[in-house]
Amino acid sequence: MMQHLATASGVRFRKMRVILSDVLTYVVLGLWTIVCLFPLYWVAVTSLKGEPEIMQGPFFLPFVDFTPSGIAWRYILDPVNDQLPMRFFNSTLIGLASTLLTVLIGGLAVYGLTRFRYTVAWMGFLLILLAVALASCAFVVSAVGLQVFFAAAVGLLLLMAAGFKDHGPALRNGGILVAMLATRILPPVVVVLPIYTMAQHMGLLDTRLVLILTYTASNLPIAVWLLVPVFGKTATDQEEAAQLDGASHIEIFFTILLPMVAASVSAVGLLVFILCWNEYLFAAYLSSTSTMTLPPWVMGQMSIKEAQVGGDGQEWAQLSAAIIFMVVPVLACIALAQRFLRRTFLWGRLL
Amino acid sequence: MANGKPGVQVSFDKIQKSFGAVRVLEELNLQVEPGEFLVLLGASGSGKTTALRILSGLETATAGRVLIGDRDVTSILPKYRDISMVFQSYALYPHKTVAENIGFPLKVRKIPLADREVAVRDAAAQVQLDQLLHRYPRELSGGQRQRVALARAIVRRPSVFLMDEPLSNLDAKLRGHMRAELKHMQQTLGITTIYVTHDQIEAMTLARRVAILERGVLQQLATPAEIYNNPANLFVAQFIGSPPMNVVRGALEGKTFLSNDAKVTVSVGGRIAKAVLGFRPEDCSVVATAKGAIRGEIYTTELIGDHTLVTLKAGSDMLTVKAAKDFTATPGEKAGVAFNSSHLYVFDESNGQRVR
Repeated sequence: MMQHLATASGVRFRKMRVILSDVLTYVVLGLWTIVCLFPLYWVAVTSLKGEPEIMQGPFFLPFVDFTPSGIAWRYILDPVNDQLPMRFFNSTLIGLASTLLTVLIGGLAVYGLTRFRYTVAWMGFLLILLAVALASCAFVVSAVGLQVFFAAAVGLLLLMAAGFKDHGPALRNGGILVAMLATRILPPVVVVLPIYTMAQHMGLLDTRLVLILTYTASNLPIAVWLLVPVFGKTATDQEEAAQLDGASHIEIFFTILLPMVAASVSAVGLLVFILCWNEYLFAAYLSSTSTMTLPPWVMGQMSIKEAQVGGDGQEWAQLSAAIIFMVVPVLACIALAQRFLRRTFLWGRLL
Repeated sequence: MANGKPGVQVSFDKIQKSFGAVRVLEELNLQVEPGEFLVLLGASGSGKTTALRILSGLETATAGRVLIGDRDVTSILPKYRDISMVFQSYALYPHKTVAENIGFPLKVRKIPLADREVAVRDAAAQVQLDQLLHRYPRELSGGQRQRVALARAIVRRPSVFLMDEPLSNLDAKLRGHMRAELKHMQQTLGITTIYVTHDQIEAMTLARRVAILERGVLQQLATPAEIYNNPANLFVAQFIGSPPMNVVRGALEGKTFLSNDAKVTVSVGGRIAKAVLGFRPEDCSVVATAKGAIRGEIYTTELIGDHTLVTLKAGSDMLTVKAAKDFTATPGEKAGVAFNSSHLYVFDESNGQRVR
């Protein structure tokens, strides 16, 4: 094969191969783009259709196949008719609050775990104390689910405490970080019922607070692990200078460190927001009438519409509009996050 | 002393530092006089930066005490030690303006805004930055950034200045200029300063006394002149001076240093089987083979401009001699080295110590 490449026809053949592979790449990518983007496009177009167009077979292009109408959009945005604005507000509020809490606690956690050293024996003792405290709580509580939860927590803490020795890898900073990640390995489905029972006991069902707290707890490991490469290395020169200048650690964290890594932290925050926004499981169980967020509500609408198949085709347009409502913020967040990350890579580390 | 506040004494008392099994500082005992400019000089890994960081509080010593004034600050946080530090990378806050950078130490101490502005303007004027107070660090040149770091250090008038190779990121011309500025500023303010560097020229020009560190051990603490003319051991002798001191290996018998190619009368006596003779290139001259205390042959001659550097090969040793600028010789020509004995140094090779 190789000797052919040296000849004139061989050169032509090589050029042809290059062009062919480029064309092939673009064709494959183009097809995949269509596969990925077409559902979005279809939903967007459907939301602009009036009733007759929906029921009478596929119409693909607005202004060409059919005349778009804003009926569906006007309908869903009117708070009298449906509850979309309310759900959107809930999703936004819970998402923002949870993201803020997550990034704050996660950031402080990374700061503490990477700039201070934690001693093992001390922690072990504390954990045993905590286990004892929880065990006592378990006796007081009456709900079975809660008691099981407490027992499991006590067992876990005792196990961790038993793993402590004065030497060896027991719970030092790295161990704490790993423990934080490990909580994410647990499938959320497993803890939904216990959390439901807990919320019921505390009267927190169908409140925004319970969702905010749950999302914070489940996204905290992700935030921590995304933030470790951002500022998890040893203290920067600026932090040391600030220490010498007389700033406390909290001051350093908020006035020196965070502004310096704002872009990366914002990117992490946006990713966490997307996770909260799309979260379905806990929202479906823990919220009902007043605090339901978008994902379970849209699911609910879909079931309702399916039950009414053959009825008002207008509702498909309304559903499509709702779906667009759900998707657009996520796309915006991703675009923003990409811009932040790209700027960081472009400028490299700040001065 | 111009601002009326007297300098404070700084002491390292038996400071040791180990990182796990690695011993970085071996029992450092050092006292810095009030208002003194002390330079910690050494190669990379000598422990000089570690010593500085222990003094600043950014590292804790494994053993020993640090005293500032008469306070034992060993277990005190950096911000309570009344020190300020200029970092090699300047450590400017990129999201704050020059004025905010300089004013930060005052802001965290809750100094009222009016006093803060006066102090900032005063500090900026001292380093000629008054026109740039509203700029951000990314808009400044290297020299300007370094002056911001300096202004930030002096705005608070601390008891001690610490400087960690602040000039090493500047180009040579600016470095010379800033050296003079630094020296003048320190003399005006009279604040005790500890300066870390690996550059012997900075050490010689800036310091009142130099502390040379090598592998965590203090080699010599003396004035630059003393270190140059009276080195305590072989390491110091070869570290200071450019071109470095010549060394010839041989033996010391009575008052004569003997080797295969050398027979030199020295001013110190003793019997040392493995001795090293040291002499500086400017303290010797190239003479005819018969007249020289060391015999060898010319290896190369290099015209520097105002003098010629002659390299001679004597046995396995290469010797450098500073000769007149019109000196000429052909490589391979036999020659000898002669010197006056007052600038000869004899070292014991087993421990590197100077024989006195």
